[in-house]
Amino acid sequence: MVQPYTRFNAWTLAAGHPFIDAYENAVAAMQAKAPADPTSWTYQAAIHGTKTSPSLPQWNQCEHHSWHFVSWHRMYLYFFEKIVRAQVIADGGPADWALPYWNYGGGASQNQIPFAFRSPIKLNGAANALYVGKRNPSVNSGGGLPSLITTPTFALSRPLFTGKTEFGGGIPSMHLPFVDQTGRLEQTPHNDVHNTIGGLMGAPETAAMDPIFWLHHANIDRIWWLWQKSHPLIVVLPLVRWPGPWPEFKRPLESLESSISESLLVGASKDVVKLVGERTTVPVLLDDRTMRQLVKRTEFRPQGRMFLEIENVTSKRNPDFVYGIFINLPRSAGPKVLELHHVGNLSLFGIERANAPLNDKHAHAFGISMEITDVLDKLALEGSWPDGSSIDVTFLPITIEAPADSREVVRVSTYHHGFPVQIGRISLRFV
Amino acid sequence: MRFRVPLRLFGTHSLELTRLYPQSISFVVIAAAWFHLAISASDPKGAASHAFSHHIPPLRPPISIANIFFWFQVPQWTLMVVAMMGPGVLPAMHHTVVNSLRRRHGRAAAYFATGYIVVWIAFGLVGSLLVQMLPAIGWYAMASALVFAAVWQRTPWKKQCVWACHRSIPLPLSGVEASIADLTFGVRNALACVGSCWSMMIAMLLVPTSHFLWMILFTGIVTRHPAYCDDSFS
Repeated sequence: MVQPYTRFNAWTLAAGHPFIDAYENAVAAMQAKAPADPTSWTYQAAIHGTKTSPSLPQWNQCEHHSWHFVSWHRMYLYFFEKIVRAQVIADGGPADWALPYWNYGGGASQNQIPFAFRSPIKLNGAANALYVGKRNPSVNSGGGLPSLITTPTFALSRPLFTGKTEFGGGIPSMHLPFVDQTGRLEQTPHNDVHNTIGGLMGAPETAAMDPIFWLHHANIDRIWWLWQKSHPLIVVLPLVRWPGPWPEFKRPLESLESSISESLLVGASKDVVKLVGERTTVPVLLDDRTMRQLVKRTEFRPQGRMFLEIENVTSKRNPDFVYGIFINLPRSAGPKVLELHHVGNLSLFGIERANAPLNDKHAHAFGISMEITDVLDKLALEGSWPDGSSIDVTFLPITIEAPADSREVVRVSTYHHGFPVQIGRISLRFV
Repeated sequence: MRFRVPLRLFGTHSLELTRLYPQSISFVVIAAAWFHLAISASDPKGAASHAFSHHIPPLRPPISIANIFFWFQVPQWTLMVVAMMGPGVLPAMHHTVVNSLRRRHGRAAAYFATGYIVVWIAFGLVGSLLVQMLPAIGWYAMASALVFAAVWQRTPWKKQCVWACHRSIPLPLSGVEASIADLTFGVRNALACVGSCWSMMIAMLLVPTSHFLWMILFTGIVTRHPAYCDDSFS
């Protein structure tokens, strides 16, 4: 009989609970192993991604920017957890050990990285294997991840699994090579948390070297589980063979798909947009003739669903921070107003590999798509929907919150790399 | 308050129009190109019975820019490009269309196709000129070209070109800028395609006989190449 294991919230584990210490010991033991050992830290991280060349066939296997994202990482976590548990038991730790999760969206101070990951040395003076110096210094000093990037609401509110605007992401296809299929969960909070922590976590080739990576992904897996529980009628059938080195693993299928693939272009930004770490507002012009056809004379705005697409995003490197995306945001806005106008985030985790993929994977465009119908509905009720000729899309760098016990204002601008981000087009679609 | 209503324009569902036009026309054009080439290949007296093998005469006149236009049959080459490259380039054309305003769908496809085909015609002219300069033409030359094509498939440059095939450019909403962007996208996509498939198309220029069968084979390779299409996920 298979023994069930329980993953606990790293922030609410009882004082003295051995799971975190056991994890630290196991990480140290795995880091001491030779990289060629499949149970070593380096090898396990390289399965996700590595800059080491030549690469082994089992390395650089991570799946991003598509509906494969959640299932691949669930499998990855499952085997990693087994390896760590074996190490924990070998070290004399608890036999029921399971990977804790970091619920950064759980309120209170849970948006801060757990204490065990912040200090380079342990209480006994030994080096702390959970500490990584190559993180955003604000994170290591106890700065909280902003709720705008930790929120699972965008993902959990999606009714479907499949589709680039839906929970899991779209299906990569030769028919859509110019489309980024990143789903809402992968974008927020997954990519956003990667980017905000930065350093090793800021790129797929190094992310799994940081021990917090695994707690982050345990949380992502938990959010998927929550979505699965609340969508029992969505059929996810294990019918098709996974094309990777794990022949038993299957990919999910779903008969329903987001209707954005059948949408109609109604508006777009005029010029290429350049983001340089400052607030930038871009008017998205709606085509008059198309809108006249769509809008009934007596209606306030087109009936149906609206989608916003950020297309042709390019950057030489991931700038290691996140831009919030807002619709018709007033110049001065408090937290509640920000939340009302917030439709998603733009973070460039993995952009390097999107342009130059490994292992014969496909190069693809980088961008994100989101449904904005609900936000437009709210703005319409509020009277914030303009005359119908354009909407304003604002990109706002999201700053890390200062530690509660500090007067210091921690700004992401003190850390981020100055890599400009270029957006080819922002478009509005109707279906 | 949100509700959906069926959107009807010109007596039919506008989104149905989006799906059917002009991508469906592209299918028809590609099928027509194949049909014409197949008929030509089966007709021993037909102008295209030997497809491109007959543009290389037994006694070659002195090479010049003027006579290359004479020997190089632009319509025949264009048909071959449409037939062979058409299936592979449909996703790019589809992308151009769905990222254009509905009233521009036809124009967007036309501009994209024009840019794409012009590049391939230019390649055909240059390739034909180079073939004319070869000391000998026949199965040996073609075999050499095929070996070179196989080597090219494994080079990093080929991979770069395939990646470039999967990149798009921003497409403005309307106006002259939109038309220029559609045309530019067609040109860029064709350049990436030429970079990816040029060696195979040179081999096509050297095929002495059974041109149509080689066309089928090469089209299969072009459209089912693992680095080009998504067969690993199908």
